[in-house]
Amino acid sequence: MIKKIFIPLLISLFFPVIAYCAEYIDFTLTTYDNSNYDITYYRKYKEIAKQYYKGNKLVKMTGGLPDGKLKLLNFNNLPVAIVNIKNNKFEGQCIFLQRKYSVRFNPPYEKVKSMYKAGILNGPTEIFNINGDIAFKLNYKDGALDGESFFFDYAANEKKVVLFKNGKKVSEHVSKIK
Amino acid sequence: MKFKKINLKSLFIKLSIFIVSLLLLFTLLELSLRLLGKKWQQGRPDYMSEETIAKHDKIVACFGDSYTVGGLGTKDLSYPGILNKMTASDNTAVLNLGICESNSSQVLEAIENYTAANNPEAIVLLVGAANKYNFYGMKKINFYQKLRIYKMYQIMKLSVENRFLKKQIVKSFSETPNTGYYLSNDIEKIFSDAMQIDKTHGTLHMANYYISRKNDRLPMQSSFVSAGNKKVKAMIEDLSEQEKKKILVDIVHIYAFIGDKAKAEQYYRLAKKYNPEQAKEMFVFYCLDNADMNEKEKLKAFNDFIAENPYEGYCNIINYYLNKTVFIKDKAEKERRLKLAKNYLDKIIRLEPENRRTYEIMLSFYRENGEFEKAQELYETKFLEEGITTRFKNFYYRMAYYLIYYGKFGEAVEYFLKAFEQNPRLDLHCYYYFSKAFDLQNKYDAKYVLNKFEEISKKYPDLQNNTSFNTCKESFKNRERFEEDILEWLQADIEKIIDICRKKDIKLIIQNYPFPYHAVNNLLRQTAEKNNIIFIDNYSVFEKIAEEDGYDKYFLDFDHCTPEGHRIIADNVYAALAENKVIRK
Repeated sequence: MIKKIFIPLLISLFFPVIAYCAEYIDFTLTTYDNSNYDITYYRKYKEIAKQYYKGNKLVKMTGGLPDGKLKLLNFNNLPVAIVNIKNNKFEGQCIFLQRKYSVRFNPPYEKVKSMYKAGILNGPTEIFNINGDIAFKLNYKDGALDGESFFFDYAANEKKVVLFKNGKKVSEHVSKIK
Repeated sequence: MKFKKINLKSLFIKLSIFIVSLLLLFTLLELSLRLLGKKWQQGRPDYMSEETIAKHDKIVACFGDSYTVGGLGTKDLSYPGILNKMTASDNTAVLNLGICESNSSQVLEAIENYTAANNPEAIVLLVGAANKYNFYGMKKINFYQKLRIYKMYQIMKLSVENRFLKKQIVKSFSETPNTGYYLSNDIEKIFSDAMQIDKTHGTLHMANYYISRKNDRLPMQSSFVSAGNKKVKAMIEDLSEQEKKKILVDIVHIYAFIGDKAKAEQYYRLAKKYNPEQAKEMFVFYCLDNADMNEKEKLKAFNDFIAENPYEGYCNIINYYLNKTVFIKDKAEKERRLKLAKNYLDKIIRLEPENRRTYEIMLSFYRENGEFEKAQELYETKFLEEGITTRFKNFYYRMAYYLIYYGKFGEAVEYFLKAFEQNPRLDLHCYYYFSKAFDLQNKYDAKYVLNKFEEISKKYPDLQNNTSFNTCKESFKNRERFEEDILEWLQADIEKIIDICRKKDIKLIIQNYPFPYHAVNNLLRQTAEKNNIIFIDNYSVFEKIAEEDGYDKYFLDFDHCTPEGHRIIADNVYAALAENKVIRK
């Protein structure tokens, strides 16, 4: 008799708990066949979730990502990447951010800003340091370093210029930052 | 395949038993809560039985919410209780008929019921603050809203919300890094190319990438941690001594910042070998609070510093003891840290009393010690006037967060508004906490916030493109509309109470709150004046005396009164009763 009454009662009491937990289950979105990027975690990248989840149900992605600008946000609604998509590949300027500790009070982050063409690095790529200054500027042509690339040493007030041709170092010289 | 036949009859019986037992459980709970409430009411020092009341010539009935009940922890010294003692010589019984969290509709109901059976000489009213969150009676009253279980559920919900917000605040101070780098498969290639241009700094970026990925909650996290660490180790081994000197200290930083205490400590030891001077400095300033060393080891490192520069050494020790002390749950540990910090603080004040760093540390001390008023005063006199340093540019935010942690939501709103005035370009999170704190307080209304927002908009014209600010502003416009509805509802209820009292020839005295519930206080005053009702302006009295004697003397928690505060309300009501000849002095 006790079993008959209390076990269903206990189960019913757990329903809200189960419902609550279900909301926090992480979903994975790794269905892309191209190898340019993989995007995971519904909870982490809300923007993706907004596009592909309707009423908490996963909408199957058969055609990949839509073309255009895609902003990916983290838990705190801060962007971690702002990319441009064309035919499921990066195209144009794409920014990737690495946010660090205590984002709310000190927002130091490092940033990589790249130019892509059909999913391949093409054009300048800049690496920003923790102070938001450009540390490196790399020039790519069809995925390989080509042309002048720079390193900025702010402590020494120097700029290192390295010339590449088809991925191979040709020359190097150091000058003062103007 | 065989299926067991489901016996519908048995299932129906089971289900019926389950539903009946559930109903029984709720009924029992409801009855117990009602019994407990009655027992609690009778156990109050100011409770009067029917016989005792009958012995008096006149009755003054006080209706209201927790303010009338006696707030938190002062129920034996509520203002009706004190008033009852004061009117004893006139043989007048003052009844405390307040119920915690009662809104105007509940008080109206209580007055209707009470006056149907009794004939009090006067009714003293203090109501309206609970209307903001208790919506009983605002629209049609449902059956369940009258249940004690529902009330209990509401209290539990509010308490859970408070706790949740508190946890979020603590979490926001121990933010783990997160990276968007791994969204690009080219990042490793980009950094390795950077290493070709400048090996040291390229390596640093690469190491940063490997180290930070471990906190990215990736499914392969655990395997990546060891792989990432191995890669970092290999990269560093590959560097020349000069290069190691340059980047090892930074590696310690990265590990310390992401909270890998063991690694931070390991690399600190290595960094010390190549760059002893800088490592010591960096270690003290950045890594110490995060590195998982025992206190003795840390103090030893500080002692090295003290030998060279006592002032700097003491400053670092204080910073170590003060770091996030506010969130330490162990009370004894918290007190120990604060005590030690205070000792060293006295030393630096003796050494360099006028140094700006001394003020900075004093400010941190006050803040971590919960002495917010002192902290604010120091900040405004020593920092704002002389220009804000980067280190303290977020002072008001931090204070607001701490105040939320302490449950002082009204004050938190005040600090948030100051912070927005200083710099409104913030991420949505700050606005989120601001809105949450606003919803849990009663001091400020949406109109006040909107006016402030308007001022800020004028000060920073480019804010019109700021999504966070504008979203928040829009939400406060909705809140303002809602608050107007609430005030209308409150006014209608009070006018109904006035009607009842007029019909039954009962003198009505309306008071406002001692606490700055501006919107409600104004409405109470206006309604009383409009209907020519006796009005007691408690707020003006308390505003003056709290400024002279300090807030803590009259307010117990973040809005309720201390026994001394209740005594003053009682004095005010007594004077009004005497003036209107309800009682003889």
